[in-house]
Amino acid sequence: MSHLNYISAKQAVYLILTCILATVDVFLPAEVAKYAGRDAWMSALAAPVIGYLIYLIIVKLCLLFPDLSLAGFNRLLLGRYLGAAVTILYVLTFLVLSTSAVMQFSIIMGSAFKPESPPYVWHLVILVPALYVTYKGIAVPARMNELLLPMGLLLLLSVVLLNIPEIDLQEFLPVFYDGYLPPVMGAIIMGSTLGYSMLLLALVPIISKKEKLIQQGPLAFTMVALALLAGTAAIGIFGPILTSMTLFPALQMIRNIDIGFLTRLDALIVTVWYTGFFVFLCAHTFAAASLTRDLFNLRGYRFLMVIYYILVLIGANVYITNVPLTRWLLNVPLAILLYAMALVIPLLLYLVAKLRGYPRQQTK
Amino acid sequence: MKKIRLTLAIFCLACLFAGCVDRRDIDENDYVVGAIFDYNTQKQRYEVHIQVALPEAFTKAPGGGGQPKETFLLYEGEGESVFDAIRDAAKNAGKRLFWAHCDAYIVSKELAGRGIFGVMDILIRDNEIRETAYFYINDGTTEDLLTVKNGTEEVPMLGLKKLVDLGLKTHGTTLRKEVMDCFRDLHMENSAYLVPLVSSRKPDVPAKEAHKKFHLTGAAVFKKDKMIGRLTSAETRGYVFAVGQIKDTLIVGNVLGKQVTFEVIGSRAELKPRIQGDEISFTVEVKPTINVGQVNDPVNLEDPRFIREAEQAFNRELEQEIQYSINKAKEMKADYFDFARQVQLADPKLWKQVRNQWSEQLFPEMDIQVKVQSTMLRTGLLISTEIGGPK
Repeated sequence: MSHLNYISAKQAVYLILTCILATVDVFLPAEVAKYAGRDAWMSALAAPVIGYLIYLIIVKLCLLFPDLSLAGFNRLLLGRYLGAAVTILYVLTFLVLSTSAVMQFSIIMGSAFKPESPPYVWHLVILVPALYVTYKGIAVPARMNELLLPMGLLLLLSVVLLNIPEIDLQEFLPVFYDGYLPPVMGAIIMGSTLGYSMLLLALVPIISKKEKLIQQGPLAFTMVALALLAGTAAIGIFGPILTSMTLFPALQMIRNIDIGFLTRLDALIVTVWYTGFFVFLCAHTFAAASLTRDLFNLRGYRFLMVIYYILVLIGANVYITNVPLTRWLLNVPLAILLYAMALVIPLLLYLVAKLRGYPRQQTK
Repeated sequence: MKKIRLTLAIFCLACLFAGCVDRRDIDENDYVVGAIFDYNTQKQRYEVHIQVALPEAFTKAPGGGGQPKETFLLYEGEGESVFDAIRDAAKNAGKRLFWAHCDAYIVSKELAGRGIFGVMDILIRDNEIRETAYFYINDGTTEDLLTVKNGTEEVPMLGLKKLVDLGLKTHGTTLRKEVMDCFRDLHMENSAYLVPLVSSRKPDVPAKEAHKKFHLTGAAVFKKDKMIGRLTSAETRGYVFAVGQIKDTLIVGNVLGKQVTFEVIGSRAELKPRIQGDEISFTVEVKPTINVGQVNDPVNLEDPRFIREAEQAFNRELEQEIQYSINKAKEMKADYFDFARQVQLADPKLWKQVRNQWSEQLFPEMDIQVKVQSTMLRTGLLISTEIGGPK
């Protein structure tokens, strides 16, 4: 592999952060407002702890096999067939997540901006550039993302700052009005969306100075906490009931900005979402393709990328769900999937690896 | 081969990103600036009257003279739902009605009495309509509002938003209600809220230019999605004071037998609950800063006793005004001051016990004291006046 195809630990963490940020401010604030109500801010602070725990388990697992991807160490730990089956599960998960990202983007554009445009237009608008950029490896989107992530964070921050005159902090009171369970439920739902650290399972062989992944974690999840808090700011503006009713609370927040000439700034949030989903798609389809390559010991992954992008396009265009159903699928079912794939399986693999005495030769 | 692939990719991307999707030129739209929603009880159908700005409204006439130019158009439609009526109005329009610049949504009293849920739903659900637009209740007839000609605005309804903002800074007998605020209030527990009233008024002078103008004062009282009553100008101002939204207004009082017009230049307010066991009572504390705006008789403002008396006279006037507004709310069993929320904040457990009896039993019977503590700050450019000079 060319040195150009390697990414740094920082770039890998940035990729994970962008994947998280792309999704946490779409449907999630409304869902969390539904579960946690006024206590959503507590969920926003607790969820990154869950996310960091997931990240730590995955990083520890990956560092046991620094030169192997999931496809490789699965084979060592679970045997040829079971290992392959688990790897295929991950490939499918990455493809499902890619499809859901494309669908979310088209739902945003179709519901809020261009209802007359057919969804496939939005699917192509995000898929074609993502394929073009990722065709030669993940290094290009990873480098792009070094610019896109700070820009996205800045835009998110500016959305909150411009809404400060409208935010009523009393909307977050009284705390624990309906007991301790609602914020815990909110944190569990939020925490699942922070499970995109599982990208590392596929990317780890191409990350240089992997040990730095451990150091990057705390700062990364502090940023995640801030982004989640930004999402819950909607409750301070619209109250928990209205926030839980709206499809995109973050969009409502930006539409709410009306400070003299600073108004109609919808393009800002579209920029955040587009760049976020674009990077999400690049990272997840690449992860699916590289895992498949490692599983079948193929020479390249480019033709796989093309096939997977076509599959994602087909998947996104199959009208098996409407918006309410998609929103529901991205709620509890997605949380279960992400917890299974990002927490349960990696934790089991880590325990198996430890029981079998890993790391062995890897220390040399 | 590489170049061909690159050319093909650029060609495909150029097609996708050229902005052709849903392209609409500016002259293909009719820009809606205001809409009045009504309900025709005889036909049992919703009606909508739409004011559309013409490009002439924003261009200067060359040279002056000639025929007066048309600056706006009116469209109307009717249907089984509000959305249906809007689409019916579009049948008369030669262009697509574009709603993103509409700043005024007015609902007739008839429709407000039947319920505004449907109106609010379309205003929030539709992606083109801005939630920051202002919401009003028509205190006159639809015809009256449609024939208004505001002198300063080429398109009359464009002036409504400014009228609200100006009203808050000058008389305080109106309030600002954005579409989103209204929708939020609609979904609150014990939902009760106010929406500003708008009507038209024609100057009582026989001048040629004495057109009808918008008149913005008073408020409609809503419980859930239905209008249940209205507040006078003074009652509305009492509410605006109590919730701390007043910016500037005038109150005329009597100090030691002399009429003084006070100018309020700012005010803070707090609804303070007192909970003793299951007994809930409130104190509304208002702290305005006032100036002497005008006196009708000579006064000596250097006399500290007069200043003290003036502050007390003002306090009495304002306490009475706020108390009237609170009594009106109690009469209508509509807690639009949101005392309920203060109870919820102060004692969440107690609130859970009383929430179902709040509107109908507890709030109407509740003891609510009003306490105004004003501070006289300035006296304008005069201090003491005396006809005939000092004796």
